[in-house]
Amino acid sequence: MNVLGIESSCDETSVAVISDGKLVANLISSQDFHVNYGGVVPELSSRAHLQIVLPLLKDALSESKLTLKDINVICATAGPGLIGALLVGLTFAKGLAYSLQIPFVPVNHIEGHVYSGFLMKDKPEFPFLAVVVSGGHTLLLLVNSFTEIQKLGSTVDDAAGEAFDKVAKMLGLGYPGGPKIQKAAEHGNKEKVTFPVADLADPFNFSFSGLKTSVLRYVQKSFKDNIIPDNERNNIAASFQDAVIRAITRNAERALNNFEIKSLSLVGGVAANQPLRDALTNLAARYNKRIVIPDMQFCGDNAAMITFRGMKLFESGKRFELTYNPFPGIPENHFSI
Amino acid sequence: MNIKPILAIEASGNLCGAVVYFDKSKYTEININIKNSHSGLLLDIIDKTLLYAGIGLKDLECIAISSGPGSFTGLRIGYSAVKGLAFGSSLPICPVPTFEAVALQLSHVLSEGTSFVIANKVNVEEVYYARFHIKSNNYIFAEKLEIIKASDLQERSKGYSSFGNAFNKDDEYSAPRPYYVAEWCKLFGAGLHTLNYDYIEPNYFKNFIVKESLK
Repeated sequence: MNVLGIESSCDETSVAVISDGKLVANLISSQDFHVNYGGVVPELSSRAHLQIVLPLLKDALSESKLTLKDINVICATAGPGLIGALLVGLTFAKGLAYSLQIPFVPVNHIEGHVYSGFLMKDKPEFPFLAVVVSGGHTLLLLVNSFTEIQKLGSTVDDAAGEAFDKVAKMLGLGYPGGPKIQKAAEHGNKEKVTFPVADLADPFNFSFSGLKTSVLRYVQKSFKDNIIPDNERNNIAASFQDAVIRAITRNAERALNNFEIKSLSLVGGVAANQPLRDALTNLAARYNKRIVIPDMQFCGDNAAMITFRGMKLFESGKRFELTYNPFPGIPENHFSI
Repeated sequence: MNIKPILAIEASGNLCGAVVYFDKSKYTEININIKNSHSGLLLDIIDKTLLYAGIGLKDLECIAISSGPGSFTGLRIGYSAVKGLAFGSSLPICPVPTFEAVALQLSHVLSEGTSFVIANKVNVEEVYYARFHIKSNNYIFAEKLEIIKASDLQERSKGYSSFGNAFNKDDEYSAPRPYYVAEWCKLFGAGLHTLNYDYIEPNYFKNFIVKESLK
């Protein structure tokens, strides 16, 4: 079976092909021009998706050494994400599936991340704890199978990736914040400032809004006119990054102590952060659990994970109508399309 | 000679519709005028339009699409669907200028010699504006399509019949019926058919300007 998938939820257009269970193409076109605006501009993102999706699909087929007629199922991200961006990939996929008279499978982007560890050689073992950390979401999920996900906790305000972006902006490091903070932190001392980690009534929930405000207050109090010397900027970045990592590892450890969990998987765009990868790897080692962290190409938005998730939905017997609409957010506790 | 039918799609405004156009008197057309229905219903409308016509995509000459200007999102839904449909069935695409398709539609109801303006909202401050004249049962441009200030519209349309949502938000002539998108393609679109549509996009007409840097 040959499955083709399309991702267009934010600022990456991606097309992937899985042939008989093997990933044979995963092309990603990143819209780097958003850097000029300090964040993703939805209208420009939508325009770029429409321009690039077909050439990218042709290249993915070429790389797969397949033709359109060889494709059996077409998947596309349905949400959450930027609605205008989602509409392009989803509608294109529906049109293509209709013209080829083959099934169309809409995919929840978060579920794509959750199962992205299965794109690796060493795969997660059910039930596993998925630590989903991205620009839009911070979630702790207990994943029991390909059809059952239990939400343990989520952020009550900002996502971790969002906090990285906002703090990077405060520090004048630019966009995107994740890599910029990590790079600055490499030259900083994380012990220099102790930023607080929110302790909420629900032990598995996160809050990064207070942390972000703490950084702002510290900057305003310590530096006149927000002029921050490089070494101080690096120290703040390191201290902030450490606080985020402490929050995530603390809640993940709580989950390990309270649920039967065979393995861990750190997924999402912020899973590219090396100190976070190291911290979760150390946590898993302490509990003698396997940890699966996808390769960098599967951490950011990519169609490989969408294609894999779509394939699993199709294999489980799920079928969808072409009237399926994209969704910008996910309803509370809802993870199955 | 066996002339193949055209599938034409209109999604540039509130109207979401499709037609399978064989000729002026033989066609199947489905329209839905419900805001924000395009994403969910467009493919279903196309499916049923083809079904009632008793044909499949492989039987078509081309797919015509109302190319704008209009709602950015509506135009992109139409273009995304059409790119998928056309590529999957190796069909050419024919982009049809939205205002001209409306003018063609109006040429069937307005009298010889009538001058008329079509104006649709861009935003609260601006409108897409074009002026036409009916001559020999067809339309000709009197003023080319442009973006003007909404505050200038009254003056610029004085003495002319006026159509479009800048005058009346529910005006039925703010977007063409798919039938006239198809007819425009049939009458004037022969040179516009293209299989080279990898990078094709709607005629947004208005460049999107990021007003304030997020930096």
